[in-house]
Order: sequence, then C-alpha cells, then structure tokens
Amino acid sequence: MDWSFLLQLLVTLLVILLGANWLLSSFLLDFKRDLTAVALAQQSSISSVRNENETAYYRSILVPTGFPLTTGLGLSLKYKIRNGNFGDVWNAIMEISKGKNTIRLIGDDKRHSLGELNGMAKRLFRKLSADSYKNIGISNSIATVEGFTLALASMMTTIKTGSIPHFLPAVPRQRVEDLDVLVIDSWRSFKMLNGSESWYKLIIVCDDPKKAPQLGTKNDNVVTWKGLVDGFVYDSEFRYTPQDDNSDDKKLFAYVTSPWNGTNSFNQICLVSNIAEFIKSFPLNNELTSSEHLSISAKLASSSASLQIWGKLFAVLLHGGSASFTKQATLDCKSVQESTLLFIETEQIIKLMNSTSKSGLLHKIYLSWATNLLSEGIFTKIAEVEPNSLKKLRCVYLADYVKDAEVISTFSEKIPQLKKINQRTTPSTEQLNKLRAQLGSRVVLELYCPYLIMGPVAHTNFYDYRVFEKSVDDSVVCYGPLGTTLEGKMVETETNPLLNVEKRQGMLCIRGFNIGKPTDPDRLKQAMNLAEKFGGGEGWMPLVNVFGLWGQDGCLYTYNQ
Amino acid sequence: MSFIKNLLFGGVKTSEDPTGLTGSGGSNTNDSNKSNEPVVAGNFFPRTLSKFNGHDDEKIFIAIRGKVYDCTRGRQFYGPSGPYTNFAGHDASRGLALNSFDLEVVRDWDQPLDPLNDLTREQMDALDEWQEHFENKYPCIGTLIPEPGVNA
Repeated sequence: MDWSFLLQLLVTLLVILLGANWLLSSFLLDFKRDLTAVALAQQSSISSVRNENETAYYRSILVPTGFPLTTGLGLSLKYKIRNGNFGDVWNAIMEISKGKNTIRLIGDDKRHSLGELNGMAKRLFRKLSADSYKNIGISNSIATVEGFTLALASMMTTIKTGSIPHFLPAVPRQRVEDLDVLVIDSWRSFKMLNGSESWYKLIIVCDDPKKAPQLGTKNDNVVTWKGLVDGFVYDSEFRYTPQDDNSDDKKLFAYVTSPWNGTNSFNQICLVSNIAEFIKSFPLNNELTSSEHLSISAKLASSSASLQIWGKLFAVLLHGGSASFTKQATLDCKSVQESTLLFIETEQIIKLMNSTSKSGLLHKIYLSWATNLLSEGIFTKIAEVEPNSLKKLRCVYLADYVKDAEVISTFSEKIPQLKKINQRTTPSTEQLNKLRAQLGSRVVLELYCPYLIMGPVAHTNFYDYRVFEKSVDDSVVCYGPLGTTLEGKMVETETNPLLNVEKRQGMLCIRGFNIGKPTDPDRLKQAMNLAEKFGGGEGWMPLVNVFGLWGQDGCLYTYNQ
Repeated sequence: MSFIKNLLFGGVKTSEDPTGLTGSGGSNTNDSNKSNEPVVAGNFFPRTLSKFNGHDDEKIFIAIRGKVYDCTRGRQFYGPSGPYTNFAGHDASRGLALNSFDLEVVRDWDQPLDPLNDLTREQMDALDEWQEHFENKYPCIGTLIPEPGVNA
C-alpha cells in the first residue's frame, strides 16, 4: 500500500473525527442537554452579606433571596392566603380521585381504593373522637392497612378534635405524657405490655380478634382494629371547611419520637410546605400528573420514620395519582413495573441493581454510551435493564441520611471533630449515572435528617447528571441545593479550625418551615442554647456533626466521615 | 475529542470541581469570583460603604442614622438610573428626612458624618418612618462609623 495514501487516509479520518467532535460538542449536544451548564453552575441564591464566622445564606435558586421560602400551599380564603392543613389536603384528594385511586399496602397485597381507606379512617375517627383522647401513639408500620388507616384517622382528629398522632419507634417502655391511645401490631406485643396497659385509655391491637388472649375486666380498654372498622362503608367524601381565622393551619400535625427517645412536634405547616416543596421540585414538562404511581419502600414507612413519606404521598394523591408500598424482600424491577416514581433508600437501590444487572457485551456497550451521554447532560434510556418492567419509571428518589441523627437530636454544644474518610456509603456520581442508565429514569439523591426535619434537607436537581472526579467523590457527597422550604449557612466551630468559612466550609445550620420542635423543655432549651451559640439565634438550627461546604454551584457538599 | 473518545473507548466527561478541594476547576480563591464574594457584616466607614453603589459593586448598601442596610434587592429604586440612586453607597438620612433626592443632601465619603441635629421634629418623624420601612424590608448588615483621620 502506498504510504502517502495511508497518510492521507489517517489525516482524513482525524479531520473527520475532530470535526465531528467539534460539531457535536459545540452545537448538537447543547441542543440535547436537559439543563445548561450555566444553570447547573448556579443552583442557589446566595446572600450578598455574611456574618463573621459564618458563610453567606444559601437557598434554592427557585426561591431567590428576597422572596419567601416555600410556605404551605398558598390557598385562598376570601382575600387572604392560607397555608392549608391536612384537612384541605385530604379534602382535595378525595374530590380529585372521587375515591377511585388506589393504594397497595403490605400484608394483604390488595389494592385499596381511597374511598375504602377513607371509609375505614372515618370509622376509626368516630371512635377516636368519641372520647376526649389526647395523643394517639402509633408504633406499627404505616405500610399496612391498619397502620395507614389509623394514621389517617388520627390526622383527621388533628384538625377536628385536637388529638395528635404520635409516631413511636416501638411500644413505649416508660409512660409517655398525654398518650391516651396506643396502637400495637399484634397480640404478642400486647402480652409484652407487662402491666403498662393501664397507662392508656384505649389500646388498639391490629391483629386477628380470634387470636385474642383471655382478657380480664381490667382490659376493657382493649379493642381490635378489625372490631373498630367493622361495618365501614366506601366513602369518597371528606368534608372540611377552613376556619376564618386560619387557626387550623397553626395546629399540630404530629409528634415523632426517635429511637433514641427524643420527641419532636411538627405543625400542619411542616406537612403542607413539604407537599408544596415536592410539587415545585418537578421541572417544566415533567410535572406531577394524574397518571403518577408512587412506590415507597416499606422500610421508609416504619412508624416514626414515616415522617418522610407523607409529603410525597399526598402530593401524588393530590394530582390524582396512586401509590403502593413495596417490601424489601420482594423488591425487584417487576415489583415496581407500574411505578412512575420510586422512593427508596440508597442501600436498597444498590441491592436492586445488583440483582438485575445484565452482563452481555451489547449491554456493556449500551451502558458505556448511556453513561457517556448522561455525563454530557443528555438523558437516554438505551441501557435500561428491563424495559418492560421499568418503562413507566421516570424518577427514583434515593433517601440518604445525615451522618449521625442522634447527635443532632441531642443538641449538644460539644461539637465533634470532623474525621474525614476517603470512603463513601452513598453511590458516587458515576454510580448514580449508571443507575440512571440502567433504570432508564432520573435519579434524585436526597439528604434527610430523620425524626427532626420533615422532608429532605437538600436534593439534587432532577436534571443533574454531572460526574465529578474520583478525588471529589472520595471527599464529599453532592446533595444539590437545599430544599425550597429551607435556607442554610455554614458556621465556624472551634473543634474544626481547618474548615474555613471564607472557603464556604463549616458546620451546617438551617432554618425554615419543616423543622420539628423538641417537646421536652430541657431539649428545647438545649436546642435554643445551641442555636444561639452557633447560629446566632434567629430560628437557625445547627446540624451538629454535619460538616460540609457550599460549592461554587451553590450545592451542598458534605464530607465523607 | 473527549466525547467521541468516550463514545468509542468508554469513559465519561467529568465536570469541573465546584468544591475547590482538589485544586482543579472552580477554586475558592479565583480572582474573577472575588467581586461576588459576600461582604462581611460589621462596621463600615463612609469610604468603604461608598463602593457599594450598585455600579462599582453590584451590591447596594445604604446607611440611615448609623445603620447600614443591604438594599441590593431594591435595585430598581436604588441602583444605577433608579430614582434614589444618589443614596446608594451613602448615608441617606438627611435626604430621607427632607424627602429630597438631590446630590446636595448626600455627603461625600471624605466629609464628617452628618449629625442631623439641625432637623426639625417633622423631619425627624419622617426619617423615623423611613427607617422603620428599611428595617422591615431590608436586612441590617452593620454600622456606619467615622474613619479616623478622614471623617473625624
């Protein structure tokens, strides 16, 4: 072969490749990107001034400085604007769905229509409102029909009779003040009450009445869930007329006790702000619709952890969608085939993907192309692992948690020292793109502070598929900008002098509308002292041991520790 | 070549490091970003305040009776070509008290601070109202103090 011809061929090929690359990179890829590089580089609104020893205030670009944070649903009451409450939400859900939409719960694997669940909840509500019960302790999973209807019924009482649901991590070992009703999952748990039955005015056992042990006269406060709902009728209506004075919007929504025994109260505004935040998080042309089906991992629905599911669940139901709870043991692609949205913990999604990963050469090539396109900002479904099962899935919400929620919850003024490690339990940005490629769905990584903050503290953008260098991923996790109900800042701490607020590093402090308030006066005082010491008061809540930094893109990055 | 190379041989595009931890990408000490750095709240001299006029620096700070307010979000009023642009980066107390937006009522940064002791009762009341308005609308970010050797 002629050398000059070969050289010409090589040069021609090189020119074609360079030209194609230039054309693709400069023009075609830009048209195909979901979000521009400029938008990704500016995801927060930053205050122009900062106090000494702290960074500027950061909030999502969707609620720029000078505008209010997301506060409730913005309902109209004559000429005034109301935040709304559970009554408005459930009333609207029943009106939209006409009771026909369904929720599939764990246990009976049956789809329950909202009319059916509403009928049961109203039946339970009648019992719970007959006597002047104060708080209703729920210790079983919300993913069961018993737990779900009792939670609904007790939410109805929050605005009608003033009884408040109290989500408990387990059956209390010590007497809880004002807890008049206790809901437990089985007769086995009932037997283990060991004399504490007398603490309650009513005990509701969610078990078969036929399996009931011999109850003495002193157990006349014990009833079964089945006995209570017996005779319920399908009811697709929930009437609620708001008070003229907006007082319902300020009422309590729930008490939540953490496994380390700290109880926090949440107002109706926490719920409605959380719902509004979720609805707002969807970009244009990808909004929630009536064809939505939300699947929630049952692990997230265990009683006191269920705080995080209500916002997403009610938002989907408000749009006329349906929902289901999926068991961890049976979680696979087929189990989510009707889902458009999936809410799951990070460790579970990795298990799900490991169980379904394909290994063929063709799939590897598709996966490589898909991850390459995603890193360029272009979404593709070419590497979807099970197209038949996952074709409807459009977004997966990965719940990740703060390093040590217990330390945050104690409001200790002893700030631990940051111990950075170059290891992460959260999927890396490259792994997240692999998940997006294999699931054929967007993946949003969310940071939660369980039992204390309702809804995510921060979450990545629906369209953020950026991949960072390994050294960045090894040091920090990107959680995107703060949720629109919150604003935040980093503060300096004596124990961590290497974190420099001038470089936007420090310990995270937040304030906003979905933060719980400690019910115990000592914990409340500790929380206020801590806020005064590190946040400068003004409603700031320091998240002890959450060390991180604000990126130039306005996103929250927390150190791997 | 990165896109074609990644497409043919595998690989992904890595974004610039926005954290500045690795030294690549968006560093924290980038000079181009320095003008966007937040200002530390605290004491301001008339000289240091004067640059926050929405023109030399995009932030707009206005002082009223010794208190400095961040009026950046009121740019349409106080920014360049706004009706109250003369107040930006200055002590606006006298102008607000007299309801005058003229340059004469605003002191330059090298003059002593305005003691306002010649204002009438009505003018002081008007100033009180303005200050309340600013207090409710804009965050107070510091105090205006005289600079030794310049304003004192």
